[in-house]
Amino acid sequence: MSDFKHRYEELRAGQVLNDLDDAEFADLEQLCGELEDSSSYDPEIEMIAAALEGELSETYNETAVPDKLSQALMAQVETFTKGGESPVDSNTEGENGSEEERKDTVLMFMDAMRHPFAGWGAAAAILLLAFLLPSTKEVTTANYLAERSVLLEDTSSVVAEFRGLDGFEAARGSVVWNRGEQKGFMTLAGLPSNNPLEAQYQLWIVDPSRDTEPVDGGVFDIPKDGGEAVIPIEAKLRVDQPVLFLVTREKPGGVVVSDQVVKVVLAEV
Amino acid sequence: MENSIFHRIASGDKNAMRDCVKLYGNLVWSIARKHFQDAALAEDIVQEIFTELWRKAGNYRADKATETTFVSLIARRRCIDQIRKNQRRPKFQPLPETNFNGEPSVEAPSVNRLDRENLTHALGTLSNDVRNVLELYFIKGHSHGDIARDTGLPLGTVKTRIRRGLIELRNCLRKMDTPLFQANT
Repeated sequence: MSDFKHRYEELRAGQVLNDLDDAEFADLEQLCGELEDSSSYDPEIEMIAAALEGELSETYNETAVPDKLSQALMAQVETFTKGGESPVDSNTEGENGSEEERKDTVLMFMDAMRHPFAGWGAAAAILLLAFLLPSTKEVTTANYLAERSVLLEDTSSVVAEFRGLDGFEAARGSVVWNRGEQKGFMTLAGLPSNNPLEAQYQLWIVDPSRDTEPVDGGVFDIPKDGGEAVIPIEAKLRVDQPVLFLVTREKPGGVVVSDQVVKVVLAEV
Repeated sequence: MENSIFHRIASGDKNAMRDCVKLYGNLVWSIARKHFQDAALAEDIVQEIFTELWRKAGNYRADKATETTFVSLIARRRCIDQIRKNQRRPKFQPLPETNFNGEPSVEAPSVNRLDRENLTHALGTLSNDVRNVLELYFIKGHSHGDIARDTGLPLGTVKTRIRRGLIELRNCLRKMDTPLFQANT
């Protein structure tokens, strides 16, 4: 086997182990490009790693689930079976696929575009997008509004009004968050549109029941066409008891920790 | 498959998910703790993993892998996805959906059935140096740093041996008489 292929296999294994450093990530990306390989991982290696960790691990018999978590899991199970429904198989969720699958496909598309030798992958992704993505912005907004309405009808949802902060006094809107669904939406109007290449808006959620650090609620853009924007919240961690929602303006892609130099709108529960 | 816990879950058996939590709770928790130092974060992930297990129960195929491997696969993926999100290093797309239904293809694992017996046999064919590091990492649950400290090996060597060990294990499983791996055709 050539050194080239040897190195490629080793990096693929490192990807499954998630132990690649930045230089190795760059190497793997380059090798994927040179090999015109747009696949995301090595399924055989991943399966073996999972089997080793599951079948042979000696640690899990010594690692008991904490009582509090055990109780939470049992409560969670009750919600699964409350309605007597069978779980939804993601593979049969409907011809347009789930929202999660749509997002994965968008990322796949973006990833394929970064590989200069993966033109076929990009073309396939474009075709997939044509089938999977809603065809117009209006459809997406209508879907979001419908989902938001469902959350608003749920009495367990938390609802709060946004107010504009210094320099953004004209901004207004609302936020709804449902703990059980771990899902929420913002509506925002009066916010200046942004150029995503220069800056993006980012939501932060404060939940003192988990810790003092705000949870990243996702990065979003305000388009130029004005009007009210409906934005799904993409909380990176579980949010149970939010007390405050804050939108800041950050560099493109958002930040891990905000210095909150540009605070835009705030909603207190 | 008919008697598997995941078949029961997929069929809407109200007790099956409770049994799943009792049976695999420790495994999922140990995998989450291996990936996350922060116990609160690990607890969140464990809840997400069981939600995913409930949602994906219908994807389980007993002829492809054991229930334990299925649980481990979903748990590892969810943990690694979360770590990648936290690192904000989206150079590769999120790991694809777990699907045990698909026919062998370029994307689908060609594993026929991976169980304890076959794994143990394959491990036995590896050199002592490689097997020792693999066992410390996967079976004893040690970190790369712990292994480097305990064995006196440089950290880079530990990482390389684990990676090479997985590749050698795969190559060995492909060659075994039992049809663990089918050719990717």
